[in-house]
Parts: sequence; structure tokens; C-alpha cells
Amino acid sequence: MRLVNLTIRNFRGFGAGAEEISLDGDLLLFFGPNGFGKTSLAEAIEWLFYGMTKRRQLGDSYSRSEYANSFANIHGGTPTEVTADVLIRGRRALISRRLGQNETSETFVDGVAAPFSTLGITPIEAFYPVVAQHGLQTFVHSKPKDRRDAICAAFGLDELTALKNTLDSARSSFQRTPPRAVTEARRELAANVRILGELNETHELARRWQATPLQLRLPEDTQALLDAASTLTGVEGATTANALNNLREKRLQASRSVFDASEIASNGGVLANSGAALEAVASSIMEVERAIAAASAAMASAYKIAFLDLWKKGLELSPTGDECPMCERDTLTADKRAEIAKRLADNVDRIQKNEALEAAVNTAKAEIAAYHSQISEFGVGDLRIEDIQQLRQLFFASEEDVEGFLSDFEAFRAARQFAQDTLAAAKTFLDDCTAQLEAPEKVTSVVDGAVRTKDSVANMVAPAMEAYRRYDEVWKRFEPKLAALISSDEIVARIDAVGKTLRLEPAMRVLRRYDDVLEETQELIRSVEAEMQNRQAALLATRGAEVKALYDRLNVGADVVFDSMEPGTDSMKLNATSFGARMPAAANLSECQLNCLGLAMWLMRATTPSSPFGFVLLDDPVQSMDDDHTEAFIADIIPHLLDDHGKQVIVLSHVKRITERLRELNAARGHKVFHYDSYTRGGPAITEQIALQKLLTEIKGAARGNEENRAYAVDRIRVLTEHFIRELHLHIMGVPVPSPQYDRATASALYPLFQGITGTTPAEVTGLRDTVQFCDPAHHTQVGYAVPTLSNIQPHINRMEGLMRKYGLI
Amino acid sequence: MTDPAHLNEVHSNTTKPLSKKLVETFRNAVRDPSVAKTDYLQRVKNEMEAALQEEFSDAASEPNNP
Repeated sequence: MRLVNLTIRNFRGFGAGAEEISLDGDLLLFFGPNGFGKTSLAEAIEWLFYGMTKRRQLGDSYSRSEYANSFANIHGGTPTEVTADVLIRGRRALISRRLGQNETSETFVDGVAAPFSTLGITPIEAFYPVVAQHGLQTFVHSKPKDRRDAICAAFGLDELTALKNTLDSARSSFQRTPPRAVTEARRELAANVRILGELNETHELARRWQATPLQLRLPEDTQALLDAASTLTGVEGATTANALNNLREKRLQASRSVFDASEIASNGGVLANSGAALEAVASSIMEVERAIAAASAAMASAYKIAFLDLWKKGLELSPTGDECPMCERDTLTADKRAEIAKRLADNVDRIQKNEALEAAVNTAKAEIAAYHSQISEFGVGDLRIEDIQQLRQLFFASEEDVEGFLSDFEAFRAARQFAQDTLAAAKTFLDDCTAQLEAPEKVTSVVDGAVRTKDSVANMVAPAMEAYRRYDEVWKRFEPKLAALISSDEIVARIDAVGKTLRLEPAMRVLRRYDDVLEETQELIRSVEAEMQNRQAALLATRGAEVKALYDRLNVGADVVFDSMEPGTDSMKLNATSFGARMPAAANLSECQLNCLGLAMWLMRATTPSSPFGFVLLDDPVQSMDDDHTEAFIADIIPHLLDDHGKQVIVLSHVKRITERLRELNAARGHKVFHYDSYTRGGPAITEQIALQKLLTEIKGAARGNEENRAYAVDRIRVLTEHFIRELHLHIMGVPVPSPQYDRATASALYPLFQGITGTTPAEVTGLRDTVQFCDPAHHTQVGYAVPTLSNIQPHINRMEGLMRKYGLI
Repeated sequence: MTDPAHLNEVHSNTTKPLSKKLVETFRNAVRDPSVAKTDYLQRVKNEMEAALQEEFSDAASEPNNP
């Protein structure tokens, strides 16, 4: 792919007044002073293909804010766009890149948004066709790792380089900022290290777990914890489950020796059932009271209930016959049986009421028993005097806590005792009430007792349940304080530390996995690095040899030279030799030699055989080179690029002599020379140094035109005189006009040189001075100046044509 | 030149599941023009975190107290 035309609009130093630059040639030479926008042109081509420039990449690494928005021209024209007419695989295509929001950009092919890859143009590092002077030594004077990355990119290994760098960065980030699960696991494991550090078995573990970051070793650490558990419990626990069971039992023993809290611990979970049971007791006692009332009312007949029972059973035992089961005589006659049956029938109500009473009493007793069973699950025992002393010793530093608790406990104990006493009294009443009811003289007291019992139970229920509920709350507040004091006991604390840590197996697994991920990623990084080195070594043997060959072309016959590239882990050494002795190149070669090395590196990339770029652009490539190296570049490297690689070569230089020398050596090739005439707010004014004959023809045509055309003709005569003197100097004297003093010289300044050129006559000197003055723009601003007519212009045209013919320039 | 074969071969030669996933994630990102270079790292790191998260989920689903 070769460049044919280029248009730069509002990019870097180029303003809105874009003019197409024709690049149709093998060798395109641009001469211009520093600061006239040459690099803007180089960067425009770089940006067109890559959407980025090397200078900007470097700048962003220094200060992103300082370099932000520097693609667009500072004077704010829009759009910022670079367009090139290119010749690719025998066809022309118009490609362009336009700057968008936030410095993104969009590419177009023949006016349609499309990536350049649709034309087979893959802009990758390994093909970089733009060689900038400022970037020559970037490669040489960079860190060995960056240098290695640059070489890899040059060799087309940039995907592997990027993979390795990405893995490196991701791993570092993963390590530096671990996920929350990891920090949480570390926090959990580190919670008990102080106590674990006191145990022989876990001392080493604790040391590593206190490090930053925590260093876990599995299964070694689990085994250390199991060993510690065995020592603490005196029982071997082969598994974590066994060890935890053993620790639990041991802790119970140990904590009881400090204080046995089981006696005063409440089980609030049973409160609801207990309350219901107590309500049932009260309800059943009410039933008893009602049954006693009914039974006492049925006591109107004179027969005791025992007699009625006896008679009933007698009739059942001897349903026929006259023998009485009691006296065994024939006294149970039909008449007697009928009389007894009548008595029974007359007392059936009393019998039924009595049966109902017995059932109610039994139910009430059962309910009381059920309640006792239920409330025993609440589980609070009594505090002995020694228990209270133990508690006061434990809470010696917080007396208020323990005294408050003891006061609440006493209130609970009293309420519980009251409830128990009430139920005990109720039970005694129930045991006796049916028997007492047999004695008519006791009926009244039984009935009164039933009412009292009912009331006392009913009045006891609510306060009793409130006492249980309140104690449960008190215990819940007190228990953590008590547990903390028990846990602070050395043995208990050690058991707790080992037990809790053993239970943190999931956290250990998370950390082990985290370490595994880091380790595996590290291994992957190493394997990618090894792969890169292998491939790099293979490519160094071929492409590295090209760098050396290009370097040698620039340093013919030198004894202190660049020698080789030596790959290492994450690095690339550059070796040089001084009279055969090896030394680091970056530290020992001269600036000129380092520039040559940098240039060789870039040219190796630009000449990659598979590159889609058919051009190489060199922006001031010889700035730090002496004459010999510059001449080697001009006389050997440029023809090498043109002839051996078939490249279209674009050279930008601020040194006129270099441009002239290149033009001179390549006169037979299709070449073009461009001058940066001036730099204005609108951008650089670039004019092509067109052939003298072509310029003369253009002047003749313009001189016959209107006033505007004639003014243009006068200006072109000025340009013609400048070119004429420069060409004649080169043609006759064999060298370009002296540089740099005449590099930007106007016709007035160049005119004295004409006098010194061998063969020029005084008449020609005088005549040329007249023409130079005629075209001098300084005269054109004087008051009364009028654009010359054709008859005024024609003599100067004739003079210049005559001179050029005489000296064989046309 | 940039030869896709280099990265493809590294991917083929990588056998460990996480490593393979990391290479694959990077390859997908680097060859997708819509993915910014700054996102490569985050995507790879996300995979590393996902690998950890799997273990974390497994651990969480098991009882703490054997």
C-alpha cells in the first residue's frame, strides 16, 4: 500500500485550510525549519493508520491531563480528519480517520465507515512504518522489560507480551486487593492467633497467621490444631469432628470448674407451653369446684354414697336368687331386690355427680403433673451459697451486674416457690375432697375449700408466668457476661481458640484456594514467559540479524559497535563490543551509535515482509548523527529501502543539505521535494519544489491573465529566482547552497551567491538583481504600487528563461 | 508480524482449567476491537475472582460444625 495524496485537516499543527499534498512518487522529501509542522505531518499519517501516535502514548504515560485532546488543532476547527488516497493491490482507495468524542475516532473507506482491515491493512506494532527521531532511542533507553516488550512487539509476539503483562497486573491486583471473602477469612483466622501462639502445637501457625498477608499451610495447619486439641483434651482426635466433640466435652468440664451455669440457665423456648399447661391446671381446678358443688347438692338423700355403691355391686353379683352376697342367707328376696333397685334409681343423680367429681379431680391432678413436667424443662435450679460466692468472685470487677442478677433471681425463686406451694396445696385438697364429701358435716368446708383452691390457683397463674418470662429475659442479658468471664479462664480460652479455629475450615479452604489461584497464575505467567523467550530466541536469529545488518550499514568499519540482543527473563539486554570486548550497549555506545541502533530497530519493523505498508516515513532521522553516519543513511539506507524493499520513502528533515543530497542522489527516481515555506495560524504552507520548466510555463500562463493572475505570476517569478539560484549553485558548483544559513533564504538573500557562481557575467548579475527587486514582496506594499501588466512582466520572464537555457537547467 | 498462532498455541498447550480460562478470556478480549485495553486486566481478574467464588460457595454450603 502506497500513499498517493494526503489531506490533513485540523490535526495537530494543521488548521482548517487543508490542501491536498500529492505524494505520488517513490521518494518524497520534505524540508522545513523546526517548528513549521513537519512532525505534525508524520503524526497525521501515524494517527490515520493507528488512531494513536508514539509521542502521545509516551506523553500519556507522563501526564494524561497534559496531553489530553492534543490531536485536535488548538484553534478549534472541525472536523479533525486525515484523509489519504492510497494505492493498494492495484486499486485506489480513499481512507480517512475522523476524531470523535473523547478522542475516539472513526475510520472510513471510500467514504463509508469501515475498518481499514477491510482493505487488508492491519495496523500492528510489528509493521510500524513511521520512524520518528524522538522515538529512536526510546527503545534503547528503556527498562530492560520495556525493551523486551518492544522487541516482542516488533517480532509480532505482542499478543503474548500483552497476555503476560495482563496476567502480571491482574495477579498483582488480585494480591494487592483481595476479594472480600479472602479478607473476611483472614480476619476470622487471625482472631484467635494470640491464644494459639501460647500453645506449642500452634505457636508456629500463629506466627505465620499474624504475618501480612496471613500465610496458611494446609494440611499442616489443620494437623497442628488437631494436635493442640489432643493436648488440651487428653484424647486423640483423628478427625476435626472428633476433635470438636472432645473439645466440647472438655470445655463443659473446664467451664463448670469455673462456674456451672447449667443450674441457672433458662430455656425460654418452653415458656409458651408452660403457660398453657398452667392455664389448663387453673381450668381443671375450676371444673373440680363445679363438680364439688354439684355433688354436694345431690346429697339430699340419707344414703351414703358407699352404701349406694355396695348395693349396686350386690345386685350386680346376685342378679337372681335370694342369697345375699354379704350375709350368705336368703335375705335378698324379690321384694328386697326391688326395694334396693328403687333406692338406687332414686340416687342415680348423686352417683353420676360423684363420678363426675372423681373424673374432674383426676383431670386436675393430671394437669398439675403435666405442668410440673413442662416447667421442669425451663431448667432453672437453685443457687447454693457457694454458687453465689463463686459468682461474686467472678464478677468482682462488675459488682452491679451480679447483684442485679441475684436480686432478679431471688424474685424469680420466690415467685416459683409460691406457685409450687399453691399447686401443692391444690393437690392436697384434691386428694381429700371426695372422701371428705362423704361426711355431711364436712360438705360445707369442702365446698369452701374448692372455692379457695380455685381462686388461689387462678390468682397464681399470671404472676407465675410473668416471673418465668422475666427471668428468661434477665438470664439472656446476664448469660453473655457470665460466658465471657468463664471464657477468659485460660484453659477455657485455649479450648475455645482451638475449637473455634477448627470450625473455620471453610475460611481455610477459601484462603487455600486463593493461594492456589495466585500460584497457578504465577505458573501460567512463567510458562508464557518461557514460551515468549523460546519464540523470541528463534526470531532473534532471523529478525535480530536484520537489525544488526541495518546497524552495520550505518557503521561501516567501526570498532566500537552494537553486537547483539540477549533475551533474559522479563528483559532484553543490548550488547556492544569495543575492539572485541563485550559491554552493555545502552551505557557505552555514543548517542550517534544509539540512534543508529534505534533506527535499525524501527527499520527492521517497517520492512517486515508481510507488512501491508508499502511506505516508510522517516521524521528527522539523522539529527544526532555525524556526517559519516548521515551519509551512510542517505547513500545506503534510503536506496536499500527503495530498491531492496520496494518501499515508498518519505523523509522529513530540517536540514536543507540532507534534502538536497537525497534529491541529488535520487534524481533518476520518481521523487518530489516539498518546502515548508511558512507556518501560520492556519497551519504550515507546504509547496512542492516543482521543476523549473514547469514553473516557467505556469508563470507565462498567469502573466497573460487578469490582475490577480498577474500578481500570482510575479510571486511565482520570485519563487523561480530562488530555485534557479539554488539549482545553478548545485549544478555548477557541485554542492547545494551553504546550510544552514541559506536554508530559509529568500531570493534577495540568495542573490549574492549568484555572483560567486563560476561563469556568471556582470550583466547577468545586474539583470537578476533587477528581477529579484521586481518580485520582492516588500515593494508590493508601497503606496502607489500597481500590479504590473504583461508588458512589464514579460522582460523578467524572458530573462529567467534565457539564464536557465544558457546554464542548461531547462 | 502479530501471529495469532502464538497465542492460540499457548491456549492449546495450557491444560489446567483456570489457566486455560484466563488465557481464553484474554484472547477473547484482545481480539475484540470493542474491548478497551484497560478492560483486559479487569476481565482476567474477574475470572480469578470467579474461581475463588466457586470455592467460597462450596465452603458456604457445607456445615461449619462437623
